[in-house]
Amino acid sequence: MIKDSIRHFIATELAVGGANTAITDSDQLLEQGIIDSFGIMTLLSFLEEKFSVHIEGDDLTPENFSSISTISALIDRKAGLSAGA
Amino acid sequence: MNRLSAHHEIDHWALLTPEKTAVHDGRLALTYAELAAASNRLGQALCGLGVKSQDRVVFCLSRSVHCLTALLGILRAGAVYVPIDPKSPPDRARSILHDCEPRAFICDATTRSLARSVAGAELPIICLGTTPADAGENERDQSWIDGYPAVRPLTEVADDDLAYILYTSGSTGQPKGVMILHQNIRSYIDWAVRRFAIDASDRILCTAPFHFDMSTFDIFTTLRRGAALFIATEALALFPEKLVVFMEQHQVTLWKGISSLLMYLARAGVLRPGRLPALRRVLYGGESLATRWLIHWMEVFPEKVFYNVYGPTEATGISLFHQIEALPGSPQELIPIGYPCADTYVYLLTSDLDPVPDGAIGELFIGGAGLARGYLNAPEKTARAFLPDPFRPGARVYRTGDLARKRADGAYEFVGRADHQVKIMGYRIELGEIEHALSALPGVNDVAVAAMAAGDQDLRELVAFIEGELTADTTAAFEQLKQQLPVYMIPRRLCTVARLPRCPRGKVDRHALQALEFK
Repeated sequence: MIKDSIRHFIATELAVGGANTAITDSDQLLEQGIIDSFGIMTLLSFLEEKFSVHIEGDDLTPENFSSISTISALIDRKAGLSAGA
Repeated sequence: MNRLSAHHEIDHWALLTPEKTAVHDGRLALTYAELAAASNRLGQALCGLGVKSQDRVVFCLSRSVHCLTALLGILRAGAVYVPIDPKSPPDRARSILHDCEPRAFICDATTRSLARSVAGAELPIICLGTTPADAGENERDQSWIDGYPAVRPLTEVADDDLAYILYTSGSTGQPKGVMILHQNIRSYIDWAVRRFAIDASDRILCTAPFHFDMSTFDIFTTLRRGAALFIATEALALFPEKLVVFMEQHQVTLWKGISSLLMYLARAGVLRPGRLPALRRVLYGGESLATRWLIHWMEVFPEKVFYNVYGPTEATGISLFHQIEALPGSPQELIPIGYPCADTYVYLLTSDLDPVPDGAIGELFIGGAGLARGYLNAPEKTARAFLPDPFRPGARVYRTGDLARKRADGAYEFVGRADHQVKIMGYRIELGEIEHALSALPGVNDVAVAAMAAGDQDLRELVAFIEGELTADTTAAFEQLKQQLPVYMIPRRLCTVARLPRCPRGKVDRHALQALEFK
């Protein structure tokens, strides 16, 4: 599951609280400060490597990174694009 | 002729170009006339509260035009401004208040609850920009400020008076307050506006947090030349395309950015030829920038001028700078931190304070007009960091803890740290401060923190190696740490190890830590 894998990464690597941090699909990652300027860079490296996608500057929007659901939807779109090409 | 202090320059521009935008945060803008009036009212209000010359006043604000109003209002009252990170954990904010004993706490709607939780009953809270309905007894609001006249308070400021205090990480667990004088700012800004040819037509981007010394450049070069300051909100720094659009919309001409943000923009692929046409000068610093990212910037924008700048908070701003004259030949090329700026000199010394031979590595010491008075309420720390100049009687030098080398052409190269300080996202972090907080966790016998490579080769993250058995669960442990440390100082992993690697004499072997496996 894309969402679980993103959730695991965010909980263990970005959230201050370790693997036990509970993050729901709709938690507001930016508003709650779970993703900050350091976090977004490590998250990008993870997403690109894990899902073999390339995330461009245009994809880096608050809308795409607001929650686990929206990040997962972004990965779906990007992965779909590269698979179809 | 009496020279004007930094905060009085605004009156000059308020007369000359009253309608011109002084500061803009993407939402609100203030003209020079408005900024002068708003800061005069706040200055009068602070005097009305009984704030006296050289009293400290704290401000803790989200990134907005109010930051400028606050710091200028405080200076106009003859007081010393102390910025606190709005994301500061309550314990850290309390320890800063305890140390600097402010006479007032300036907040806004977003930081009011933090202000209330840390200020205590005696400290007046002033909420800028809003008039909350539920104001407590010791709370003032914007309408209270607006009751004061927009007239410059009759305060005098001497050159060797304090202008601000910035708190940086301290190795013993206590943040250190660096005391910066009006004359430090003047000397630095005099040089900067000349060297980077800043004038009234400039539109300067501000991405540096106000509790960070990089903001000194942005604020005071703008005010010196009557230029315009564009404050980027935190969210903009997360989304490179939005930041670039913001810079384009406001036709930013000069940006002094933290290296990691330049790397992020390059990495995100938002830099393309033809973009950012107004931007002419880019200064980067705060930490090293991997040369491959500099090459990326320079290849996309061959017409712009790039400068690598270096300087500790204790020496006000930029101490050394290097103009990049040509595209680096390879990503392996080391970009020097360059040459000392005006009224600044440096030494490379051994631990016995003897000069190192030409070309050898030594510890970098800085002398000159930028040197801070020292650390507030910490004469011993001050004496350890600010030493009598071994070669110029009567002068002082600041011991940076940075190791450097002088090239044959006279430019200095940064090669690393002499101690246990690391930089993450430009934040200066003493590993000792983190270790101090961790050692208070139940079950921890000893602990060492290291900055380890994280995924991407140019990123590092903090890892704590704990000797002992953490008795609390990790969630509770992190909760406790969050009360004490800013988020950027909290290790992302806590690893228990049987024994920490040690040098023969028993000190933790930090080199060997890097090789430890962790899971």
